[in-house]
Amino acid sequence: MHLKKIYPTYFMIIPLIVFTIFFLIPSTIGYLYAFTDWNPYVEKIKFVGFENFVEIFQNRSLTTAFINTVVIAVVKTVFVTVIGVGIALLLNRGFRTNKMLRTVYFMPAIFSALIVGLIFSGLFDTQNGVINQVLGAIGVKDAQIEWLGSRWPALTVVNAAEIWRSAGYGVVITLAALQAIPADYLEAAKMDGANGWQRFRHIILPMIMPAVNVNILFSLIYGLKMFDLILILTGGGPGHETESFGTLILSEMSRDRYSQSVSINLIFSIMLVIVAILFQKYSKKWEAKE
Amino acid sequence: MMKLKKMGYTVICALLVASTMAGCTSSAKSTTADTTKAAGTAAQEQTTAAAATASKEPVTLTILANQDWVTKPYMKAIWQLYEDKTGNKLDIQAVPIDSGETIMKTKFATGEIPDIFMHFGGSGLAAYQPEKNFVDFSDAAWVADVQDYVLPQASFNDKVYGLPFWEASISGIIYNTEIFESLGLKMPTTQAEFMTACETIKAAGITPMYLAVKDTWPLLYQFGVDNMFLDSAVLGKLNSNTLKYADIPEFKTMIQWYKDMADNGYFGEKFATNTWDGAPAALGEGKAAMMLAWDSYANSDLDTKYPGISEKFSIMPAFVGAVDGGSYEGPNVCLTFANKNGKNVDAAIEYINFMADPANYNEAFKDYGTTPVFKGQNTIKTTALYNSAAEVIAEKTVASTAWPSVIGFTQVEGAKYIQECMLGISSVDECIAAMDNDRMQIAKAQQTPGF
Repeated sequence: MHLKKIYPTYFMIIPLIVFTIFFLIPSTIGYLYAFTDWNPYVEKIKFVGFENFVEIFQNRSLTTAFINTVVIAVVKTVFVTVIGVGIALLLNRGFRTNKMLRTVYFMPAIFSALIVGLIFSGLFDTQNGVINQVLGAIGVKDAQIEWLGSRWPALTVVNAAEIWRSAGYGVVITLAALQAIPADYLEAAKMDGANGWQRFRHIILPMIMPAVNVNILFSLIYGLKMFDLILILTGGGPGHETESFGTLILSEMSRDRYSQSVSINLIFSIMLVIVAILFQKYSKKWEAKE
Repeated sequence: MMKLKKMGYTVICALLVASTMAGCTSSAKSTTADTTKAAGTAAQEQTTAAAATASKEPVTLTILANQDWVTKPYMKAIWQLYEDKTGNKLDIQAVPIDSGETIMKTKFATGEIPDIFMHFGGSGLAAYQPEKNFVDFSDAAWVADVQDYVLPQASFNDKVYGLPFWEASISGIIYNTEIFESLGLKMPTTQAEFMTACETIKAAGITPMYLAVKDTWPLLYQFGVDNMFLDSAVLGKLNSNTLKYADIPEFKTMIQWYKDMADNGYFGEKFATNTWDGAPAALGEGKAAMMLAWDSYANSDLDTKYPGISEKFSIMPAFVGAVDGGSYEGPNVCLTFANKNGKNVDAAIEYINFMADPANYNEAFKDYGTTPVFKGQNTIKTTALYNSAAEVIAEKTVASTAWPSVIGFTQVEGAKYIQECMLGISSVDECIAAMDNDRMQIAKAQQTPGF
């Protein structure tokens, strides 16, 4: 692809200045609090080195939050990507109801986390939830499952809600890539005797891979940043069993441990940066291979 | 060159992710404590001016409070009265019940302090730096009008910052007398009798006690903790780090009580997702017989949804494993504070003085079931629940100690560990160790000597 340079480099000066003043400097200053004893009771904040980090690594909830966060991100990424490709392939077939279906699939993406959370807490409510009632109706014994009352069932509900909310993005992005595939490629392959799977594997997939990569990156990063739905559905509970990094940061804040909260935030940010860099590096390779 | 560009993009990408995350952190803000006038004197000067101050330009006062508090009928009444009489407006900023404390602290930490602030006071008030942020009302005329048993709660470091405009309720276990009578049960007087009653109720297919476990705060374990620190010497040891929760046998029996109640099915077969909002239905429809609550709850929450049902209820001491005979917890009052650094400081002081005016509070509390907070209260009535157990209440009420006096006591965070213990995620000892650890971390953060 030929990228023509249409503006001089100095055009970047103003955006860079804005970025530095409004993002870079505040962020750096913000992260400095991770190395202090900042909390609501302290008048004069002082540096304490890595004391906060030593303390938070002894916190059992950090391990729980790390595992939960990774599980949520990975499960979400797999499902959103697969569902996104699957539904996009169906919608690309040119049904009459295509436009309506696209709207329907994208609808959850425009709902706020609060609405999604309320819908799912209603669905999975122990006494009156639709899911338990359906289970009861089809004869499941002890159908009063406390979906949000223990760790893995609760994380399943959180994941289901998040996948439902995010799948629309995956569909739209993949569909756009599918529609950009020239029809002659597929026709030529068909004439050469390629079956449906072969056309998908050797033509469609390589050509939509950049879009799929975008889906994966977004799902992974937003999955790792999961906060709102957990807060609404479980509040990180029972106990600290469904904490994610996001809710753990809030939990530390609520215990007046502001600097420890920033420390967790810093660790989390480093983790996200590593994921983003690694993904960028390897996703390029996948695309090239295809 | 391409490599350099690639590196550049990678760095920018990394910075963008990092900046986005850092945006989540609040920046510490130092606030200036300078006030041109001694706030207490200002409060004193303004006291007499209370209601008749509508002459100036109308102002809008911001009030930061918990969602539950703003629904109280007397709060709504006084706000309406204030707006009608002064022409000023009130902008009520209600924060969620379970995360309210965190949001309020964050607002203070970032300097977003409202004109009026509501809080239950106690040692937890330290996080809001009252000396720096709130008007000192110690010299205000209304302080003499506050009941003696309430004034300690309104005080912080021997100064009065908050007006206790609140209901004074007695806490314990509210119970459905009809269910008890139908099963031939009387109000338990010992822990053993209480457990027997639970077993009988459970055998009748009714949940003995409704506990809103999911919301954590309704575990109300302070009802048990209060008893452990009535002796100021014991409290002093805990607050100077020479004693731990783990060293107190009653603390262990209390945690064990929650676990036993859960294991025996006395909170119901499924209880982990019970919410506070679900309590009126559980009690009102007779699905549960008891709940940890306070006497006025029956009027303010049950009667609202099931009119007249409070007549079926009485209140017994809270049997939470700490003392054999159980105990009631004395009043816990929410306080109203005025921001001394805000642009509407004068109006905020006037607002508090308006609330403290006997004519106004008597109108706001008219016919409300509560024990008096002010000496001049003459329009309230004691609740039917209170009247039904007045003698036992007089005998077994202990002052609220845990919340106001135990440094590092946290109602929500502490309850999360009990929640884990009840659900078998941790043992009783692990639960106590975690609660101790939390308490000590907070005390350390507060720079309490000995921690």
